[in-house]
Amino acid sequence: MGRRRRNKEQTIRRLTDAVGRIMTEKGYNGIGVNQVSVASGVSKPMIYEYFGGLNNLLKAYISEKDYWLPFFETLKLPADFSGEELKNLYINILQEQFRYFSAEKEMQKLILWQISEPNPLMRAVSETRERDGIRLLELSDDHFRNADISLKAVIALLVGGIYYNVLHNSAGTGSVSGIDISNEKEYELMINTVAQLVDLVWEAAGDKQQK
Amino acid sequence: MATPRKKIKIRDGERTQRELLDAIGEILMECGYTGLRVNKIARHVGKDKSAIRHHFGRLIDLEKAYIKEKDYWPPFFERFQLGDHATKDEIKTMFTELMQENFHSFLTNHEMQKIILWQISEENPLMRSISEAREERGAQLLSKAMPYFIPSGTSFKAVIALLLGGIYYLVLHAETNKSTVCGVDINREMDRNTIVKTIGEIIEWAFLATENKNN
Repeated sequence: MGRRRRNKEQTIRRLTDAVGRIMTEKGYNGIGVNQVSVASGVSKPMIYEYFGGLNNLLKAYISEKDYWLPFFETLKLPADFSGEELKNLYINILQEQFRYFSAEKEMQKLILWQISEPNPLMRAVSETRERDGIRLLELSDDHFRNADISLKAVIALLVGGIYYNVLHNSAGTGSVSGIDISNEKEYELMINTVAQLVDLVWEAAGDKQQK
Repeated sequence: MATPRKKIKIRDGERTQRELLDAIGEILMECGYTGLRVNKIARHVGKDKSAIRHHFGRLIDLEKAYIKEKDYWPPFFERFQLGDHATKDEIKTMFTELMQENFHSFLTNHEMQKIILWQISEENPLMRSISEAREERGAQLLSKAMPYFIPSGTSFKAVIALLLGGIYYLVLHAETNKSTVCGVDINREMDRNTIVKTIGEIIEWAFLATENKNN
């Protein structure tokens, strides 16, 4: 690897790190090319040279910090798998989302941004996640055919429920419905409940199909 | 002639209070909670900032009075109650209606949306105390359901925490981001109906699971 290339990589790292620091310290309101330049020590012309503008820098940052985008990139689905395997895959993905989101303050700020103001970049990011997510969800169409149950609605409520509970806890607002996830036991209870609810919707669809 | 003058004065005071409360709502809608600053509020109503102190005390007291007006949970807790001998079916129905009503109310109440967003955006003693008061009332209802769930090992509290959070999140996402979540877009009526139906089903399944385990 040439020296130039290494330097470029280091500069890019310094820039995405600076975005992360600004995000966690000041929130999305604090992000601008000037602020990133000051926080990273990289000149503005250099930022434009590497990224063409703030938008692409933010995109690079988000695709690193987001749980879903890197996940979908590396996900290799087997050509053929049983319904049980698919159910377990969904459960794992949701439980991982819970763990990752609880641990990653930077992603918390991204999700908060996404629901705080209309923003074309955040909308585009959401739509990219959705494209892959829906493909994954549609693998279970067979199991839910004629069942008159919406797996998508159940998973949507769970994904949102996980985001909300973690954000609520991070803001120091206390418990939600008597559950305080800063308590390890109650955190585990939530992780288990996510699995139980996916189990329950799966079972309910199976029962309806047999009838 | 002294008496009518006094009356007008009282009404003026009430009007200023009303203006200050409305200003909180308008600033919250336009700029979010970060816009709630004494100077900005005073400028918004065209009065000196001492008016806030005079009518409410500190900024936090004005904010508290505003939230007290807009928060739909205290009236919910008056409406949704369970007697000491409520049956399992009554408890199930009550929670289903409470969650579905929360979805409808949150969807149409934009100021409440900003309040909930505020609650999860920054550490704030006022938000914490409001949330804790809500939790206390909620705990009374949850305690009625819990005995049914003990044998099954399912946590009804966790189910409701996920539902509650899911409802809040989906509405906030639909309002600002406008894209779908797992293909669900509650800006569409059909999808809203699906969410309402699914809320009922999730509670139903949770209760069903207790029956299977108890047998």
